[in-house]
Amino acid sequence: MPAQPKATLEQLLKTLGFDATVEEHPLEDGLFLDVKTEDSGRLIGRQGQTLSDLQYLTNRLLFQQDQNVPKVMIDVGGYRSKAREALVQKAKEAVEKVRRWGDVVELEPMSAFDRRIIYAALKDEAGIEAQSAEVEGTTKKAVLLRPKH
Amino acid sequence: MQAFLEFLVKGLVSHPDQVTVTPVPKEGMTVYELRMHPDDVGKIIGRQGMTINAIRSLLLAGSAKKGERCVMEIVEEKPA
Repeated sequence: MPAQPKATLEQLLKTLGFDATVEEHPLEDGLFLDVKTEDSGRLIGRQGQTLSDLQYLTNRLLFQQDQNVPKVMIDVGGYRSKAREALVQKAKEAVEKVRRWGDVVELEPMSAFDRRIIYAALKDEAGIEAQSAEVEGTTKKAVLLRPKH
Repeated sequence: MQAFLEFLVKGLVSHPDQVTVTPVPKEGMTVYELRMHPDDVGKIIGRQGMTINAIRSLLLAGSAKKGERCVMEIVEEKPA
């Protein structure tokens, strides 16, 4: 049986007690599922934690249905696009600080997904070097920005 | 919440027919006891407990919406 991304997510949300509509949009490397619900705050969770748990479990379910299924990305009420903008903004501010003071700037620990957005935003910034560093007590890593010598 | 756990857990394991979810009321909350094939326990827990933490997080969000308090536990039957 081919995997049913939309139906699977709808069933999860329904059994959880969320009245929601799900729209499917194809992505280059997967599928984007856009959720609209009245109670989006609850579904997003603190710093989007509940949303990323929902996405993780949906992908696990789909992988069990069909191992070749493309990954799904889930958004609720535009949260991800807003979070992405905020991260790009944060990267720009950090670059500004490095240029002004010539010191190392350390961003707070982030998931690989979030760091990927940071690195993409830094790609075209000349003279900036960035690397991720382990942080004690969490699996997240902190991005360090410094001037390139 | 029972339907949620059954749909999710059965969808994640290799032996869905051996999954049972039993609600047990306890001090104003509901404890959902999960039983499954021993080989599937690891799948539900996941790497560093990632899967079970994600399930608990959604369970919490859903039950908070309904004004309930729910937790879940995996019950492993000891081989006789």
